[in-house]
Amino acid sequence: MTLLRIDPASPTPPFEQLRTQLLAQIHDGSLGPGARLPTVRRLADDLGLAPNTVARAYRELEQIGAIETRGRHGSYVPLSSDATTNAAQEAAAAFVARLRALGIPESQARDYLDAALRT
Amino acid sequence: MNVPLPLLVIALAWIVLAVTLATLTLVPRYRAWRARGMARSVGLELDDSARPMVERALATRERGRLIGGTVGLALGLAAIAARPVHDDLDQWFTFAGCFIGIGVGTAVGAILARPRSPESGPRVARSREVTLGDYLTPLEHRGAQVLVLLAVVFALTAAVLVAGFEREQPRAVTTLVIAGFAVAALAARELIGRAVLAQRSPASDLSRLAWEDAQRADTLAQLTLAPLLLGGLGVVFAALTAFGALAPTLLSVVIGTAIPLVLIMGFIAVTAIWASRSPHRHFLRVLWPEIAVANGTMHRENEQR
Repeated sequence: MTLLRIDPASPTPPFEQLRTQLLAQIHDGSLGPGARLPTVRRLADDLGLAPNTVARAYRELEQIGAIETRGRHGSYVPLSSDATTNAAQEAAAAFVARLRALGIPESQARDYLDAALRT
Repeated sequence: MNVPLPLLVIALAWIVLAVTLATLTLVPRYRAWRARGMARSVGLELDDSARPMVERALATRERGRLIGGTVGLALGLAAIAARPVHDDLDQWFTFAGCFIGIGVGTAVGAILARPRSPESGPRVARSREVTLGDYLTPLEHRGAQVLVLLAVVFALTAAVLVAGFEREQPRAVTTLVIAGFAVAALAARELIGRAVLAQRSPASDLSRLAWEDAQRADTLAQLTLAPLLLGGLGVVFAALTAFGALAPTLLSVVIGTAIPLVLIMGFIAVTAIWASRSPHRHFLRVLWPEIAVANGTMHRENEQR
């Protein structure tokens, strides 16, 4: 079902809740290629968020190619989008960013990744 | 004044009915009864979180429908009164005005009954843009467009065919006006329907969101009634006009009677098939398939296929 649920009491910031839920729906095909997303203003109104919050989530999804914005026509899931590849690339980037933030060296990070892949 | 007495009586009866029903919308028991009726009709549970919103929105839309119908009826009567030459079909102007008024009034009521935002807590929303096709069956959505187009083509053809027959001129004008009403009704459906879709729907839970969809589907169905009916009427009237002028012989009179009859019967048959597929639950099948399966709407439709 193409529904979004934002909980303001959650420790995860609203923009991150929105971004991950949209990405999950693109990934599992609920939001199929060509699906048109609500406008930033409409979604912000419906979810009780600031328009900037929704715009930021859309912008980040656009940067990883999960959605595309066609000017005044709105935002769409691209017809040629490979959502799985995009999601995998994003997960890898998040993994690297988190380990860098923890100060883990690259070789040790690879060990962790290999160990995780073997489980 | 050139308005026939029976039409004035019908108009008066409508006004009495409209005032009575509009007054009833202020009575809590009537509002609760209407909301329960809608819950049964659309197959949604009316829980405590959605009840106040549903009752308020239903009452506002019903008042809009009644006021719109009355204004449309008055405009239809004014159109008849303003005609210098009459024919026996122009009484349909009244019904055309009333149908359009009902649709527009309901939509204005829906737009005015803006849902209140939940003060705090989680919020739910749809992640894709909704379209008219999510709320209207293909017969309502595309059928109205096709019927109105046919009405215009038939009316223009009839007007050209009877151009040399002076006796048929008032009827040709009536047919063109009905086709014009159909076009206006379709334009209202497309424009106001989009405004209804663009309305925000702040919801704190899935029940409220589903009820928002139910209200929206009902409003759009009301808006679609006028182009469907007027498109159908336009086609029948155009056939009557053309055959009335070109078919003075007995055989032609029979054909002239048979064609509208076949058209009317076809219209009734299509409407019956459409009604048997529970069109008021179309939005459930498209937007809430889990609920549709749970309450048997989806299962029943699949059996019919």
